[in-house]
Amino acid sequence: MAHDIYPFSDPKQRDLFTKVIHELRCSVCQNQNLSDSMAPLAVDLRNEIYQKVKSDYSESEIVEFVTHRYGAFVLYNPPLQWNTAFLWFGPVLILAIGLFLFGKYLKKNKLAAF
Amino acid sequence: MRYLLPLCLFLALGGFLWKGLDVNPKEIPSALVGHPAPHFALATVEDPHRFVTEQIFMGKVTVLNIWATWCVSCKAEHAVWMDLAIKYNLFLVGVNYHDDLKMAQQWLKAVGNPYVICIFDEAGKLGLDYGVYGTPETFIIDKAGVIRYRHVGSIDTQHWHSTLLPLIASLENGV
Repeated sequence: MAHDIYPFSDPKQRDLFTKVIHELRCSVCQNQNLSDSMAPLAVDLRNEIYQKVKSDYSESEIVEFVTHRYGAFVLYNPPLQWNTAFLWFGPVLILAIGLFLFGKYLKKNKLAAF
Repeated sequence: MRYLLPLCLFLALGGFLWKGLDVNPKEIPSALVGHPAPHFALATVEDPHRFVTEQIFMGKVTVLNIWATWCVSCKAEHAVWMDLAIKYNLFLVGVNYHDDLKMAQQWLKAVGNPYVICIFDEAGKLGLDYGVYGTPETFIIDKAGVIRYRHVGSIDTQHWHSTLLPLIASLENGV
């Protein structure tokens, strides 16, 4: 969809643009990424990112440009930091608790051979 | 003993839900607090031939207020600034964001201009560099031009007295 408004001659640049605008969140409509959102801010950011991709900025440079202004909050692919640790390890922790309880249950019901 | 686990789960869930009561997802911490105010060079609403840069923040404590004529809560907030700017002799700088110059000029003429300077940011470039995502927004910038505080949404007198005024006072006296 976005390709008609943002023409690229280099398919690599087009892929990068598509990837970046799908992985960054719009701070105005927080459940949309920059690709979906029609909020004026998202339009501004798309234009800015388009210019940067055209000028051969790398993915990390563009992400850095946006997070420098809007913080790590806009990343749909959040970095591993102390305040995202639970996000990253929480599921493993919960799985471990589940397995532990399951093991206990099996033992109790003498199905440990399973 | 057999109730220990359900109790723990209940407490954990309850704890998260309790915290959820006063978490406002609209309040995103500014990535710019503690950083120098980003560069800009833009015309002013009062005089479109006069250009200003972030140098205007130097040497005084600045209150930077981002607003627009299309922004309904900015209009409500305007009265608060009219009052505060005079009462506390503020160095209040406005940023007219994504707006029409004529409409901005007419608005300030009609209801009064609380701003020492009002920057005209038609393309939203300053807004983008300052991480603006919802008008009105208010920044407090210290004498060295470093951003110390950012608030998203209208300022009311209660918030002014509890947070902004003490911060401005300490920045005026201190470093």
